[in-house]
Amino acid sequence: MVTGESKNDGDALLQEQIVAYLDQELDEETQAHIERLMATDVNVREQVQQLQRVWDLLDELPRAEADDRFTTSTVELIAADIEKELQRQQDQLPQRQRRRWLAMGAALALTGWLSFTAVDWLWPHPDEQLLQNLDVIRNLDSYRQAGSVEFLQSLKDDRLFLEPEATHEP
Amino acid sequence: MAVSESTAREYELRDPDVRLMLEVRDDNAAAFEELMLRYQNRVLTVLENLVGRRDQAEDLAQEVFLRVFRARKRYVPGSKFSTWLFTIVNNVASNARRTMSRRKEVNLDTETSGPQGKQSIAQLAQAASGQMPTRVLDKAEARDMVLAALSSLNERQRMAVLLCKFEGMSYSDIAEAMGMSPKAIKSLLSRARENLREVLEPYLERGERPVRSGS
Repeated sequence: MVTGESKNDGDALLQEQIVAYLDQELDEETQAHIERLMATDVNVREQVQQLQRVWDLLDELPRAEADDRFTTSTVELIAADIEKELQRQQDQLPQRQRRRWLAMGAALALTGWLSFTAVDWLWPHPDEQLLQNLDVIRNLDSYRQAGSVEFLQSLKDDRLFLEPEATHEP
Repeated sequence: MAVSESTAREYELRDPDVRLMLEVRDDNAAAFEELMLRYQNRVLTVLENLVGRRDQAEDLAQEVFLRVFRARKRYVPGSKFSTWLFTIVNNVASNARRTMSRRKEVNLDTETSGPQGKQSIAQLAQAASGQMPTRVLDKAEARDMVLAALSSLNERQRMAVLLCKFEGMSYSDIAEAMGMSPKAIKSLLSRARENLREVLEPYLERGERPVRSGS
C-alpha cells in the first residue's frame, strides 16, 4: 500500500528530477527516464513546461550595470585600505624589531646550549675520570701503606676498623 | 581546505580569471582592475536581486572586492575563480543579513518577502483581475511580478536560484559557493522553483495583470 507520506516523497523526488533535467544535471539514464515519462504522462509534460516557462520569466529580472562612480569608489576604498595596512605595519615596526631581536637572542642561546651539549657528549672532559676517583686519590698514601687491596679487604671482612655504631647489629 | 599542487595547476591552466587572480596575488594592480571590470556587473546583479536595494548591493559588492584584495596573498586556486568569488559574495551577504537582523534596522528582504510576499502578490493580482481586462503582461509588469516572486523565497533559495540563473553555475559549483552538498542544492533549487511556479504560474496562465507595488 502506498502511504500518503511515501507518495509525497515520490512526488518530491520526481520534482527534483524534473528540475535537474531542466538544469541538465541528470545522468543519461535518469534523463532518459524523465523523457519517457514526458512522452507518456501528460501531467509530467505539463509540469516540465510550467517550470520551464517560469524559469524563462526570470530573464525579466534586472541586470545591474556598475557605473564609473562605483568603480572609482571601490578602487578608492581599496587604496585607503592599503594605506591603512601600511600605516599599521609602520606603527608595528619598533615592536616588531624588538621581537626580532628577542627571537634572535633566544635562537642564539638555544644554539649555544645545543652545541655545548653535543661537544660534551662527543668529547668528554679529560678530568672526568680523575673526578670520579677523587676519594681514592685523596687516600692514595694510606692505600699504598697498606700494601695490597687483598690485605685491606681482609681487614674489612674482620670488621676491625668499623665505626662503633656500625658493629651493633640486631 | 588544502589544495593540492596539481589541482591548483589545473585551474590555473583552465581558467583565465584564475591566472589574473594569481597576478593580483603578485601585487599586479592592473590585473585586479581587470578582474573587477569583468565581475562587477555580475556581482552587483546577484546582490541587487538578493537584497532588493541598489545602494545596499553596491556597499556589499565593494565589501566583496575588498575581501578579494585582502585575500590575495593567501589565494590558492582550488576551484574556478567565479566559484571562489561567489563564495565570498555568499559570505558577505549572509554576514550582512545576520548583522541587520541583530540590529533590526532594515530587513534584507524586500517588503513583499516571505509568506506575506506571496499573499500580497495574490491579493494584488486578485484585485487586478476583477478590475482590469485580461491581457498579456508587459515587460515592466513581468519584472515587478518576478521580483515579488523572487522575494517570496528564503535567502538560501534566492541565492541558489540567482547563481543558477544568472551565473549558469552547476549544482556542484553552487554547492561549493554556498557551503552545502550538491544533493542539498538539488533539493533547494527544486523547492525554490516549485515555489516560484506556485506564485507565477497562475498569472502566466491567465495573463492577468498584477498591480505594481507602489502604484
